[in-house]
Order: sequence, then structure tokens, then C-alpha cells
Amino acid sequence: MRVLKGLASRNFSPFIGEITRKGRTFYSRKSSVLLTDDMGLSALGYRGCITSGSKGKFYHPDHIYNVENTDLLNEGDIVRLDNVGNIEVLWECNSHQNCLFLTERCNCRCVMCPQPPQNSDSSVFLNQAEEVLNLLKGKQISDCCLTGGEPTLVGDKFFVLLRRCVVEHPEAFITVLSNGKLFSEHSFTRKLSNIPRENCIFCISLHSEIDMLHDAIVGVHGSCSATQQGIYNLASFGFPVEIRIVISRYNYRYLVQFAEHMYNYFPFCAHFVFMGLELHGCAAVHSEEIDVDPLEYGPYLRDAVLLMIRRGMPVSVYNIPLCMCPSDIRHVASQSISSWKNIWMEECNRCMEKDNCCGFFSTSVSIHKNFIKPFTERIER
Amino acid sequence: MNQYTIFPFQFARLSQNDILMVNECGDFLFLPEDIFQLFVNHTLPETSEYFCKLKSHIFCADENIEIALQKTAARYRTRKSFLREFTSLHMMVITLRCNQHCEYCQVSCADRDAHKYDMSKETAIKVIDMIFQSPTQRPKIEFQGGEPTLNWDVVTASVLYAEKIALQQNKNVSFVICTNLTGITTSQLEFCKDHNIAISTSLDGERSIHDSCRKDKSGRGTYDAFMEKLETARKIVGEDMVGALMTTTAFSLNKLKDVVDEYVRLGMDGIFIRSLNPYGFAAEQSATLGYSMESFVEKYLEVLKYIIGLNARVFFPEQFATLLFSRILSPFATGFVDLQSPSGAGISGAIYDFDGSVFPADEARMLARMGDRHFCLGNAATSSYHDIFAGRKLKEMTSGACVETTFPCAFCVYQAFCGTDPVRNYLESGSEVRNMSHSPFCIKHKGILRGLFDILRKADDMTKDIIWSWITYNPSLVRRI
Repeated sequence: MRVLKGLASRNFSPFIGEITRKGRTFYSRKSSVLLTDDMGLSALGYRGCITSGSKGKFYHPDHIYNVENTDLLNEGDIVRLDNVGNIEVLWECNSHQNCLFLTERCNCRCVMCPQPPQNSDSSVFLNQAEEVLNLLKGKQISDCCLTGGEPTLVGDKFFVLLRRCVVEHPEAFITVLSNGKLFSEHSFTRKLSNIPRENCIFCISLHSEIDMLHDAIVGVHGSCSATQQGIYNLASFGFPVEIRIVISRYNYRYLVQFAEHMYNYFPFCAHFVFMGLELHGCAAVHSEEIDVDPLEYGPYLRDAVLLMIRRGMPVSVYNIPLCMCPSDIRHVASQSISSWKNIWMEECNRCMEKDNCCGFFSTSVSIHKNFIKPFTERIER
Repeated sequence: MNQYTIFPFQFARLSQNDILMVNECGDFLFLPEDIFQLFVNHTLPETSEYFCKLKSHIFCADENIEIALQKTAARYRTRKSFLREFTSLHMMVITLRCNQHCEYCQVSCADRDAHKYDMSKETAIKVIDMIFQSPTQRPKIEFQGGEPTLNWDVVTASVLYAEKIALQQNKNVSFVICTNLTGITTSQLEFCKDHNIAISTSLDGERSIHDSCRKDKSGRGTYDAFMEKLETARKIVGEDMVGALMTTTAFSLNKLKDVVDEYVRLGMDGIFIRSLNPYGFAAEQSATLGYSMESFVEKYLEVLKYIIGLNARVFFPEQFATLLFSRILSPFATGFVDLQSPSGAGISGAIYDFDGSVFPADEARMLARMGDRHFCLGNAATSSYHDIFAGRKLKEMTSGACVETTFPCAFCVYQAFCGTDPVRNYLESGSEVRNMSHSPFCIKHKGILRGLFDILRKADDMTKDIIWSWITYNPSLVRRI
């Protein structure tokens, strides 16, 4: 999530509002945050203000001043302002990667988790998600992702929020990032039955079909079977399922076997994704143990992807730069890294394929720099 | 001793000290003999790579048996889902008359003027009424003969009536006409085009092979007449709507490559290398036309490798191999009436003779023509749909026609990919259920399946691409030279 910093006008309680640069008529200012270069009379009536200039007067609404890079904020973005001077961008209008973050809690302890779970109270996030949805109501959005932590852990609230997304935004593509474990309970999955399935997909992480391997990766015994059971249950309720497999030192040698298993026993899934690591959080701590270089996993990834392509399975590769992708599977590699944490290396500026490449995570503690090979010409597709 | 659970599977020892294992839902694995011994004796370490493989292909599970069983069950249901399409293929014998007299004719065709062997319009209407009582949403009606174009009025009446009923019932009907083409007229072809009727014709190979069996009433070859009409048909109806089938006889058994070359030359979209069926004239002429099943298998596998080689240049599937490869490699159901378990006779396909008699398979009708009406299920004009398709005869036949429950098929490593044919069994042994070992049916399918597994084990990337391009009908998978 993108965060801008400034100074808070006073010790106010955090609030959420929608950015406007153009300004609003007086009676429609209550839910908006005015973005302005200097605080004047036109700032009155707003929920809050953000300014690159200096602190406003006592009669101005709560605001954050001395903010740099205000050009990163756009008309319609949804932001959260707090009394420490943070401006968190909860929703970016021009992005296709917007998320509703529901909880920091998780029922897995993945060795490569980029956002280590916390046992915090989820109600802050849930209220926040609700407020964002209130502000989005009636607007056209292209997509929305429900995530966490493990978003299903918030229970009934999860179903309420998912239903709101799907019903209030039939034009949008709603994704749920989950480990799917709770759906192994039929009674839990049944709560999905009043949710339309047309514009919604469950992206479930499954790193191996071998229980010993998957459970070792996610750190909780019994996860492999619960996740797979969950996928079957979701599918039996008619929901599309995408399977996401994160490539690490643990599982890279088993990718081909995994791909074949997916075809044999999960052919109903809508999409399969092989993902590179984001070496952040737990993954940064365990990088020695989990990180594997592209030269090492490349041949396995290639064979697994080709196996799926042959079988007509919809497959993609995320988070792996084109120059580190075996040549015959480059056409399934996507630009998958959220723009706010997406960077390129200096060599990349000479690359002819930069605009088709996912680049790197700015958050990763190390990057396989010696494998970067800028393309001197466009590659064939 | 390790506490893993071994699930039911079939296996066979192959030549290379390898064991082919197939589980209940058709997933397979090759395992070296020594590993196999460890595995079945519960002494394979759970940390070994082979153990992971066996688990991945669901031959065993340690603690999470539930999910393994669920996967097996889901795949089993999927593979048997052809059963939900209760009777989708309906063949109508429009007439027994024919303008040709082919050496191997399975039906023993009647003379051109023997009009008593024509299906009447009244019977055709009754038959179509019955066809539309089948639960399937996509009935396929195949006009057969004899030569169905000789009784053309009944073909057109049937098509128009079936289209009307399909519209009323909101079903998706499709048509195929099986014709030797030699007597077909332009206006008949135009009717086919207007009503989206696919043409299935017969071509045995290049001139000398084709003419050795496919003859007119006076015994002259029909190759030239056929070629001329084939061109017209493709022009009018469209290339993709005209398919051809071949029958392997003793004349062509050693020249199958020439047959393939002829099909490629003509730009056909593939070939089905079919063995001869022992019915009708073919039964009478078996001394000159016939061959042993062992030699067919040998020649089939030889020409299959030739066809795979050709695919480096041109997309050209062999359709029987495509079917069997799909069964071996994919989790999906394949519809092929002649090789299913339970047998497809009656439940996947049915045939209506010119007089309205209903049979579970074309071969059963041929048997009736040879004088034995054992398989007659009733008559479309006088029996009800229920009498025929839910009657005792079909139920008994179908429940016996399952390889899963018949010795020794139940223990055969190829069981999951094979099927059975009660009609053929009856013809050869006098009983619908028989011990299949050493029957021509078994020799053929076992031999071919063994050959296909051998191809799979040795397959390089190119061969894999070719095989999958056939299964998924995706020519672009193969980078051609």
C-alpha cells in the first residue's frame, strides 16, 4: 500500500475520505478530502484536507500539511489520514490492483510470507473496508481483491463484504486471496450460496500436492488436505478457482509432478499461476532457506508450464522478470507486481522488453541481479 | 513397515524391468521393479522421491486418505460422465439398397430395386419421435444404409421433421449421412449444406487399394467416380463437413502407409485406421479379406509411428490413437460407442433398422441380417420408449458389459482405458459375456495399448506436442518444419 507522509494539524482520530482536487459543492464535501496547495476558505466543509503547503487555521477541517509527492494522489482515490501524519492510499482509481485488507490474522505460518501475520484485532480493517465500499458505491470499478492475512478468518463479515463487492459492482472482477482451508468445512462453504458467482474468483495458494511438502512450507500440519478439500468444495458450489503456487527451494524440483497432478485432479480450475518470491517479511528472514535462483528452477518451471500449455490449461507466471524466464514460456509471464512496490534495475533501462516485464519487488531484500540480461531486441510472441 | 495405505490398482510387468501401474481412475505410473517390491511390502521410505510420485498419482496415502479418495472419486465420475448423455447417437437405416457391392460389406446390401428394404416415411417419423424421447440434449442422427441417398425422400423428411421437434424441445440436433458418394447429386449435396448435414464417406486408400474392395454392382472399381464426387461434395458442403473412413483388408494391411499418404494428399483432417469387422460379406470372405489380429496390431503400430513422423510436417491425427491417448492422459470422458464400459450399445448409441426394429448397435443389426435377432430391443412403431431403453434386455446386457466386473478384464492393467462389446462376444462365443483373453477384441486393444504406452515412455518433447495436439485438437502446439 502506498503511504505518503506529512504533519497532522492536531491529534484527530483517523478517518477515511475520497480525494478531490477539483473541489466539491459545499453540501457534498462531507465524505471528501480536499487536496490543495494552500489552505484557504475553499477548504471548509470537507472531512479533511491534504496540502503540500503549510498548516492551516484552527477553523479548517483536520488536515495533514507539508506533504510531498501529492501528485501521486488522484481525483477519487480513497485515503486514510491519521494523527501521526500518515496518508494511506486505500484505493487508487487508476490501479487494477486494489485490495480490501480484512485482517492481519492467519491460520498458516508460511515460510515465505511477505506480510507476517499478527494476532491483531480485525475490526479496524473491517470498518475500513466497509467505509471504502460505502465510498465506492455507485462507481464503476474494474476489480477488487479481498485479502489479508487470511480473509476468511473474519467469518460472517467476510461473506457480507464479499457479497457487497460482487453485488454492488457487477461490472468488476472480484478476487479473493485465500488458503482455502476454512472451505474444507461444508457448512462454512455453504455460506457462499447467496453470493453471485459470475464475477468472482477464489485464488487459492497450493504449493504442492504432497502433504509433507506443502505443510512444511505453510508451517501448519493438515493444511494441504484442508486446502485441497476447500478447492473441491468451492468448485462444487460453482465458484471459479485459481491455484497459485509460490516457487521456493522447497518445491521447485516438484513443479512438473505438481502440474501433472493439477491436470489429473484439478482440471476444473480456471487458472494456474506460478509465482516468484517476494523476499520481504518472513521470506526475508528465511531467504537462505527458500530463495532459489532462476538458473536452478528455470528448467523445472519450463517443463511444468509447457506440460500445462500442451494440455490446454490456462497458466501464467507472475513475478519473474522476462530475462529470467525460460524463453519458451515467456509468453505466459505477466506484469504482476503492484505498481507501488514495483521497481527496475539500472540495466533494465536498456531493455527493449521493459514495458512487458514485471520488473522487481522494491520490497525484496535481495534481487538476482547477475541474471539480468537486457533484451537488445523485441522478443517474438 | 510403513503405515501408508495402498489404494486399489492394476499393474503389469513390461519388458524393460519396469512396472506399469494404473489406479482405479486411470492415472498411471511406471515404476522400477525393486521400488515396486518395496512399495507393495510397505517398506518404501516415505521420504523417497518415488513415494512422492506414488502419492501424487494417488496409489497411496498416509494420513489424509479422505482427500485422496475424493480426488479419485471426482476423476472416476468425470471419466464415466458419458453415461449422463443417455443415448446421444441414433443411427437410422434409411434403406438396405445400395448402388455398390463392396467385398467386405458388413450388412450384405440389397439390390438397387429391392424397395421392400426401404424405410417408409411413417416409420422414419416414429423413429424420430422415439429419438427425441432420449434424455440427451444433443441427439446426433446418422443416416445409414445400404446407401441412404437411394431413399432420399425419407432422408429429407426425417431431417425436416427432426429439426421441427428439436426446435419445439429446445434440443440441439446434428446430422450425419453415411454415403459412398458415388451416386449423390448436386441437389442432395445442397440439401446437406443447407441443413448442416455432415458427410461421412468411405475411402480405403489410393486407386488400387480402394478398387480392390469398393466395387459397383458389376464388379468395377469406384475410385474415379468417388474422387469426382468427393471434390464436388467438398466444394458444396465444405471441406470440414466431409470426412472419410477406411477399412483395413488383407489388400491394404501391408500398404497402410500408402493409405495414409492418399489421405494426406487429399487434405483429409486425419485418419481412423480401422480393422475389419467379421460380419456380413466380410464374414463370408474372411479367407481373402481377413488377417490375424496380431498382424493388424503390428501394422497399426507401424503406421502410427509413420503418422506421428508425418506430423512434424502437417497436422494429421490418427483418430483411434487420439481416443486412446485421451483416455490414458486426460481426466475427461471420451465418447466412443464401440469401446466403453459399460458398453455403449444402446445406452450411448442405438440403431433403427429400415422396418423400425431397434438394435443396441450396428453390429447387432448386422447379426439380425445374418439371421439372429437376439439383440432386437423392439420396434419403434409398436414398442414404447420405456420398453426399449429401460427394458429387461438392455438392462441385462449393459449390467453384464462392464470390464470392471468381468474376469479377467477386471484385473487387466488396461482396464481403465478399455471397454467391451457384448454383441461381438455373442457373435464369437454365443454369449454376451465371455472370457476375453485371446479373443480378437482383446488381442487388438491390449496390443495397441501396450504399443501406445511404449510410445509415451519414449516420447520426446516433439512427440508429446504431437500427441497433445491430437488430444486437444490444437494444431498450433507443434512447431512444424
